[in-house]
Amino acid sequence: MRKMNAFFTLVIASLKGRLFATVVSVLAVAVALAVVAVTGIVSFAIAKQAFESGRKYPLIVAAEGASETQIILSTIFHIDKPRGKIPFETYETLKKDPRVTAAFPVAAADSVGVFPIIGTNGDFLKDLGATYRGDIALADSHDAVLGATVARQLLMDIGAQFTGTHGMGGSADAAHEHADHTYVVKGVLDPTGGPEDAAVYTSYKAVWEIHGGKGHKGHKGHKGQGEEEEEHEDHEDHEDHEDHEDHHDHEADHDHDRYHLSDGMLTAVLARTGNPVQVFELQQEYSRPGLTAVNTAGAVRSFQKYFNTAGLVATFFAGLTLLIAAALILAITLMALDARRRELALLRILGIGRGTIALLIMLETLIVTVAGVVLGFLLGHLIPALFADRIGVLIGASIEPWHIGANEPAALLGALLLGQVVALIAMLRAYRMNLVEESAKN
Amino acid sequence: MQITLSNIEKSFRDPSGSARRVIAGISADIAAGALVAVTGPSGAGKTTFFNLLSGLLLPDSGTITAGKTELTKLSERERDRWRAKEVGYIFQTFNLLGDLTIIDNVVLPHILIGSGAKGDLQKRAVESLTALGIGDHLHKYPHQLSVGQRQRVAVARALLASPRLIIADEPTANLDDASARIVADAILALRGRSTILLASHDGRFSAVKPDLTIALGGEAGHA
Repeated sequence: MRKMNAFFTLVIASLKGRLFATVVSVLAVAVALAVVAVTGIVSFAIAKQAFESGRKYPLIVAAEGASETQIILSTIFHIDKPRGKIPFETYETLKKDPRVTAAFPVAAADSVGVFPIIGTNGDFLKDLGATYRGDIALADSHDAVLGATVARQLLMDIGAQFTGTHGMGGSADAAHEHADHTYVVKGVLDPTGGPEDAAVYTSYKAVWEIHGGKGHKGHKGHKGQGEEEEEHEDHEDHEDHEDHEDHHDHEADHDHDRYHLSDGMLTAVLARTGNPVQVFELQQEYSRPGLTAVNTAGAVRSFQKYFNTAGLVATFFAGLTLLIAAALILAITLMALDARRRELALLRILGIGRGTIALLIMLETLIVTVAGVVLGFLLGHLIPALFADRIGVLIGASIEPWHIGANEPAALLGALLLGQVVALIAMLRAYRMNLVEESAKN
Repeated sequence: MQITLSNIEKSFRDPSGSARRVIAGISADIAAGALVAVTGPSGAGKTTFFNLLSGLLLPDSGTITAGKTELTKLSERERDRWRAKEVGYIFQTFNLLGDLTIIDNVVLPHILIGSGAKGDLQKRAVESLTALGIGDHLHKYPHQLSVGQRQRVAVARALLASPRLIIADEPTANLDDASARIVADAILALRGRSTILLASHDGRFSAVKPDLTIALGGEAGHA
């Protein structure tokens, strides 16, 4: 036991003696593994969310021109911009269709901070099945219901008031503040682990009021839009937003227009049917000029395929980083071996065997690898744990920071195996060094 | 420890591939506890001679017997063990492990080679380092000490396990006068108890008459 302690003291002292090289080696392994872990966590969260949404809303009807992935991202995950508008009648028709068991309107145009404001109705919120505090009926156009993350991050609770910003997600799209329309928080959802945690819900009628209905009194300034601010001076007075759409018919180069949801316009309709065949029928029927109907389950599969490919690419690069880290550790170890010839020769002269010295070198390398693996695991899970809210907002799905992704065990084992190989190479090199003979020759 | 050298020879191949004979046909009987002066010009093979006697190298021919052990018949591992137990080695320079504290430099190698219990080794190391005038520097690192202080640490380590053979290769070279005196006194104090093989140009050692002189140089050394 005391020999083991002495052994470890020597190893730790040696690693401390070349602290920079040790830290770089440990970090190289850790970063590679952390990338694999984070990719796994994010992939899992998105896949889970996509699967659940596909089950819950098997049909989405949105504007023509958007891809299925864009529609899924904007409607389910709230992380992409809606690509156009559809008439409210689409919702009404779907709702009356005997094949449809539930239909919900979606009118997304504004945001508060980085969180989207989704215009819908109380039925949608009840259908979420989430527990909540307060009232989620969205009876009045000023009522708002907050997702759990929104309430926590914006420090708002029932009774709080806020105004929305035109555009999505606090980016350059967020054009100007709707100062005349104040929302009052009527309810707060408990955490669900879904995109609703990072969303604000209001009545679709509120969205209409703000963007061109009777309640639309104009915009207060066009923040951050530069030249466009001048172009929209006429917004101040217009009452009928349809005029605005006619007047500014330049959607291709002007995202702003996309978010002007005047009376009778939605960005999507979510629908549930009795069986999958009906989804297929409805998809055929609603895929017509001006509309795109998405079979969510099918779209989710291709979406997942796309995301899995992205995950594989990330894992590939993480693997590459790991290989580079292993090569780095080997190079550093071998260089250190050369630099330490005299010290190692001294140990030999003191009677410490060749095998013991080789074990010392192997242990040093293994400690670096194991430290990298442990740190990589911790970083890969602690960082998502610390930034769970932000990542959740970013990807539109709540993450489980301690979820072990499919590739993570293989990456961890791979790193340990690589470390073992590097350690063995270093050990063999150390064992074959004829330290005394060489020093005697010189 | 009595040592018998019987016609030992050692050559090295230089980079061009030609053999260079460093030790040529040395024979000697060294009595236990003797002080042996090993002399010869620089490059005469003194270090190689010491490496042969400590079992670090094997001669190309001839035998070395230390006590009842014939070194030339032992495996490398057995020679390592024998050296760890029986030999205290002091060199001119580069005696310490730079990443270890002074106390660890003295004690750890002995723990690794199984010279004794940690507590006992630690106690003796502190006593020895204190006697050598560096008891206040136990937890410093070698680079924080002067050359003379570092050499005293090396002496403490070499003598800690009471070795029966002490090899001192220019132990006082480059030392300040005070350090050289302390080191020389510590080595010479063991005369009679340990066999001492000493190579030195220091006048402190020249003033002491050795029991035996082994002169190396040219093609062959002689005793």
